[in-house]
Amino acid sequence: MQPSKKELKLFNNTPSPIFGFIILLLISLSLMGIDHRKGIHNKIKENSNFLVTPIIYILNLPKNISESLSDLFKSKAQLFKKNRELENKVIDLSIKNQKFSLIEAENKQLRKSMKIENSLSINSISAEIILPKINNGKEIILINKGLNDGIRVGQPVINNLGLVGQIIFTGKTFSEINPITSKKYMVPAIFGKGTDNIIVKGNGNKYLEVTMFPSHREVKMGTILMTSGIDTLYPKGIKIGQVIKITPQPNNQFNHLLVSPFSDPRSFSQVRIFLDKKND
Amino acid sequence: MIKINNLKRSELLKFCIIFFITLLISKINIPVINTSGGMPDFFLALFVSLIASRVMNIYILFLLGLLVDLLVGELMGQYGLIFTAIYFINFLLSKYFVFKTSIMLASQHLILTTIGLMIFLLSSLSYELAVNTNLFAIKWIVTCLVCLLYNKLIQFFSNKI
Repeated sequence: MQPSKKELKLFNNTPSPIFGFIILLLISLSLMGIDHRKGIHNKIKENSNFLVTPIIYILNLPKNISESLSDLFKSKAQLFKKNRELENKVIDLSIKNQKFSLIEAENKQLRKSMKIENSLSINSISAEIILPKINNGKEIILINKGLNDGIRVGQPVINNLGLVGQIIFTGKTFSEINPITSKKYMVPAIFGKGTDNIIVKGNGNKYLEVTMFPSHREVKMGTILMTSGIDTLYPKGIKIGQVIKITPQPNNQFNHLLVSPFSDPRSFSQVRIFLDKKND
Repeated sequence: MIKINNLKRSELLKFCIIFFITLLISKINIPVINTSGGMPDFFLALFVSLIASRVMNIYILFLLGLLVDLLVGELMGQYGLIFTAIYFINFLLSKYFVFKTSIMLASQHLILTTIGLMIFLLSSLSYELAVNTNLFAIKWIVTCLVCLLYNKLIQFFSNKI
């Protein structure tokens, strides 16, 4: 077989790309610097949602089709059974709710008498997780609600198990959540008994940690951590996780606490986002 | 003026299809790989293969890098920097070495992928060198494998190499 002309070349005579490389290198570095300081990437991303939205739609299409088909072919008997189960659940919940409404009324009365502001009434919206994924080494949860639904950057996200994370980016129809286990995540917390204000942060590896917990303070394995609410961003009393490991620091003045979160993005599909607080 | 030098219309179409598929698979949840954190960098793998086969000029690569930044990146200009740097390093390598056999070509791809990932690691906002070493090692291995697959795919589409 005759070798091609390109293969016969011993020395490459193509023009040197040094000039172009230096120019593009400078442009890239300037862009990265500007983006790091001004956050232009998110702004451009917000305005170019039309590029990513069809991709997300295509990715969710098989799931949506299978769900709608399974809904279509569900037998009547199954639906009746499910309906009966749900009715029973509603009755159970309404009984519980009656108790809660009494407790809430009492609580309101007590708060009024003690002049404590009620900060627990929160407007929230539910959303479905599209993709929990790892992007550039950081875990991101993608949900199907965005700016159009009133979601904004910084809003806290929870589910029935506990705290999930915080909104870090919002498109028109989707948003990105920074999970609590991320290294860039911190939240003020208290122990289940309401003692010891601490800062819990993600360790980037499925757990959270408290790095400098004073060793003279009492803490046990299995102690539950909840949001303290002192940041005025997260409502007080949302479960975060429980202490699974206590390691003394070399100087013996502090302990390192490893916390296992209650919520895992791979074990649920629905989340709730706190939109804003409304005071009574 | 930026010109599409060597890409013919049919090749451009093939490239667009590969680019779209790459975008899809980089956004999709691949069960085992994704949960373990070793998600390969599909775009880096694709562009290393394209750069090694020398079908694009540096300016188009940079613009495509910005597009990739917009679609999957975390910092504007990051992929632009990586692609232009890989192009330049490939230029230097091909000036002093001849990559002719399949083993040579594979090693060329491995070198370029490693350099790309190193630049990625150094310029990334979310990586911390001390903690995610294992994660990075897995990512490197899987990206190299995907890069070789892309190389075979590009060879299949066009007998340029």
